[in-house]
Amino acid sequence: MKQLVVLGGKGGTGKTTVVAALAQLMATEGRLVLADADVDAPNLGLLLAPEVLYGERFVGGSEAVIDETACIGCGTCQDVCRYDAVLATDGVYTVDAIACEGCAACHYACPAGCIDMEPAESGEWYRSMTRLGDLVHARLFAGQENSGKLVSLVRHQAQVLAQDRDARWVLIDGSPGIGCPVIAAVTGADLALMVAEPTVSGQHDLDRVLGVAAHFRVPAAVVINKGDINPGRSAEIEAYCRERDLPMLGVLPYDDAAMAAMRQGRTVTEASDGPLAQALRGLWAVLKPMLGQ
Amino acid sequence: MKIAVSSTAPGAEAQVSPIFGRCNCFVVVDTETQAVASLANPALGASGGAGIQSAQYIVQQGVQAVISGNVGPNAMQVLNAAGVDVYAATGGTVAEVVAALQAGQLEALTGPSVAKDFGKGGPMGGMGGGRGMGGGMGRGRGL
Amino acid sequence: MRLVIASGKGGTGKTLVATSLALVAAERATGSDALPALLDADVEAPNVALFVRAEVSETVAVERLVPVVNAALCTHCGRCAEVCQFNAIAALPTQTLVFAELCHGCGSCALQCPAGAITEEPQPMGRVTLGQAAGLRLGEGELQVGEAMATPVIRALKHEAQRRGWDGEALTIIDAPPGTACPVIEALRGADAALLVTEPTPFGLHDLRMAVEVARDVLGLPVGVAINRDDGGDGSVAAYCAQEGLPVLLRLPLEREIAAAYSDGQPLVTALPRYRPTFEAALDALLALAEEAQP
Repeated sequence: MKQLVVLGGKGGTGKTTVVAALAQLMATEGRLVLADADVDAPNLGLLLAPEVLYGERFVGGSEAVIDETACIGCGTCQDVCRYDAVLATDGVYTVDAIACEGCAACHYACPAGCIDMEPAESGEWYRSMTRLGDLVHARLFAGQENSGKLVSLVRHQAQVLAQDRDARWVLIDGSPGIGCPVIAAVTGADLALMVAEPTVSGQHDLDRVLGVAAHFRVPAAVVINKGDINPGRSAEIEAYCRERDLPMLGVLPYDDAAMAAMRQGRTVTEASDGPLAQALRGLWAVLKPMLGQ
Repeated sequence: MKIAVSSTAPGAEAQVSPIFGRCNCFVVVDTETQAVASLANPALGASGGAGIQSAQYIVQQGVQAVISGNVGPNAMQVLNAAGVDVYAATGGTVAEVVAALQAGQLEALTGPSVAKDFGKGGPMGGMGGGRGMGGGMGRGRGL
Repeated sequence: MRLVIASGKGGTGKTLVATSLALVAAERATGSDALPALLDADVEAPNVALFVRAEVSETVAVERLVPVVNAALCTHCGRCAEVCQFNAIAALPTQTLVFAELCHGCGSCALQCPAGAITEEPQPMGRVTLGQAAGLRLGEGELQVGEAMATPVIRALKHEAQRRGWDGEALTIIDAPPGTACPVIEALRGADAALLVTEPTPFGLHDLRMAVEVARDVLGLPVGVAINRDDGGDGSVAAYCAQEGLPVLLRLPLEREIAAAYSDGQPLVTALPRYRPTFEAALDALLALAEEAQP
């Protein structure tokens, strides 16, 4: 079983569009398990109409709760908290649940022993069936932390499911950025496919996310999306990849078919046989041998 | 010798688990007394650092060796520091892999194959060095 | 006044909107007015500086505290590992190992160590760069590659700007990270209004809903919406805004020229000045929205 994660650094470069198309092409050749690791903006499901088979609350950590009746008002909790999560109003101490990191420093420091750590439900995860195969996905509740932990959970469940199903591939849709959710999405993957955009921002952020993949020793390959929007920058990215001996897997054209397919809730390769769909087929043809099968 | 095997279920007939930090169970076999103890993995529900917590737990059991499909870099560091030998086994039951170890048939894992401070020189430090690596190791790093 | 430009989905045009709004505000600030500030809080992918070239005046390191165990004093009691909620410490019979990348810097281990064997030492995790461009103060937070936690860098960026009195009477525009998790909350915290940038697609609508939940429902901020790449083809975002009573303060069409200017790092109002009135009107509307909500 091989795990492919799709990342971009910058948001909106077309990760989910590429993942959905690859999933459709993979599904014609073998069994795959999909994992949507963009838990604070999960969009893969919008294209695949998942039927949820199993769902569970996600407890990402814990949060401190002060028992006001036992509190002696000493303020130690506020002194030890480094996240400004303990509020004092007229001598009454309370915890701002959103700011609380769940570190329990106050719980251990409280001389009156009146602070408990309670499990904090910060999201939900689901196991679903789609027309292309199994999908593990999740939703982080608004403003919650621990998105990286939820991504780890999604990855883990997808792996377990892939083993059960004897799947050939786990295909992971990553999130933008380079922080905890991205680290959790990339760690232990067999290959990271970077969807790059030929813009100054796209180039800058590609460089950073490639740094993350290298840092965690995951081999990376690059595909340029909407290459014709700026052919000069597209060529710069190709040169950048050559210099670093990074596999450049192709240039996807700008094509209205992407937006049209999204609005129909279909993958580009299902909805169209135009230039983008063709290019995506070409991408899968070069990607497949890199996954060692 | 006490040997801990990461396993998918309790008992000597359970399959060895391909993962360490988040395996379902540890089966500890004492090769002198033939005693078998199945221990729930306390780190199974950990959101992060599962490998560290489970490795610390295994060290506390006083084992001399660990057998697992894979061991992540953090857990490996803990086990190495505590002087616990680590062996790789890709399949088989707990009883089978323990027998294989005693027969000298298992490969010893000497160090983490995923370096931790790789590429810290700068944003692009060490590009290219990581290629062709990375299979299977370091799972479950939750942040 | 502090305005935050945010979005659920990435790549909807936050930076494009934030830079043009800030440039319009800078043109307006005259004489005695304090300079408006533009803060790039998308610390995982900070891109504002690619559009607005600033003269850097200061760089401040952002550090986090990680524990260091003094082996000579450690009694191997295991208390540090027990209190650590993040499994960042392994207490072994003869050694205590610290895994700095899992550490959240809460300091609990040092506080609880009965032997006083743990001290905390700063470890770099990013930086804040401060500078100035034409009529504009610029601040950027940048998370170091390989570091996981963006929130402290955002906090440091806001703190450094505040410490220098950038906030005061003047306008501050913050370019937030995408998503709806803790870094977004940190960027939005203390704002007077939020402008949520989206696109008229199913992805855009889905993620806008999540962003509204964070900005309006969790944080109670006045919220306006910007619709980018509007091709007139999908009315569901506009319908959602109407239904929720969310004012649409800015609309930008799906235009190749806009995409081309963006791709080369040109702020929209500089490359295509015909959009200046659009941004002036959006800024006025956003300021009015923020003022309306003032106590």
